[in-house]
Amino acid sequence: MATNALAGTSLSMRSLLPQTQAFTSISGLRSASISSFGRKNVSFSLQPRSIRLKISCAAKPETVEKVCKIVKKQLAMPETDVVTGESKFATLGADSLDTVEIVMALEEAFGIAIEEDSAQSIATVQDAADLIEEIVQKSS
Amino acid sequence: MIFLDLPSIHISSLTLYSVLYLEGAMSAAASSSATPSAAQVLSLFRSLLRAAREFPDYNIREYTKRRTIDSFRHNATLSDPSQISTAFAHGKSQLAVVKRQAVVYSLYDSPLRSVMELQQVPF
Repeated sequence: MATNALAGTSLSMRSLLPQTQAFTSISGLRSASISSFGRKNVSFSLQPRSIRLKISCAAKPETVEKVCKIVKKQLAMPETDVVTGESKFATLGADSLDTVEIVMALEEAFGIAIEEDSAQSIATVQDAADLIEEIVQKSS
Repeated sequence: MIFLDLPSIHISSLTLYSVLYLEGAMSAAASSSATPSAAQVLSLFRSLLRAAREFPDYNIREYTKRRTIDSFRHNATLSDPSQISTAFAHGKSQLAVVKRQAVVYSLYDSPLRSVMELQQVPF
């Protein structure tokens, strides 16, 4: 799924007189700003905004499956217990130390390095799988 | 014929363990700081596990990992701020020791690998 966000740009005009202050902003396809300080020193600038393209994709089923196996092994869960993509680590009985261990095990299994701030955002198996897919795609 | 994976290095495992213990104990006693946050503790835990990976020898690597996990689990019940600070300082000193020892071990790395590191058992 790809979402294409075209950020609208703004025309802003500021007039700084001794008595009054006025500020106007108009959205458009380009960004322009007009500044007037008293009667002199008028500046004008036109800046095009960059187009932002955001791509988000769900992890492959085999990646999720592999993550589930690692989580089960790390938490010493019996084979009968079911772990899915929606399973939260906290619900599975993992504390903060367990979560760090799981992340480290995932790093070794997939041959990647997960940054500390990214690791803290992982709450579910799906989160972990998505992050792994993202890192693998970046590295390849 | 099976070859035993004996580390052919100048520093024995026993020396490493005693160095780990003594250096950690001395620096932990010397330093006293504010109580660390949960994020700092987890960061130290992660750093120690990462540093443990650097050991080329399987036995030392696994020992360091296991010892790290066991120590953090053991100290998870601490509630006294001074004890937490002491344990944290001890952990930081251990991290420095582990990093140094990993470098030393890599200098005397043996080409032989432990049978535990084999991906597929041939029998």
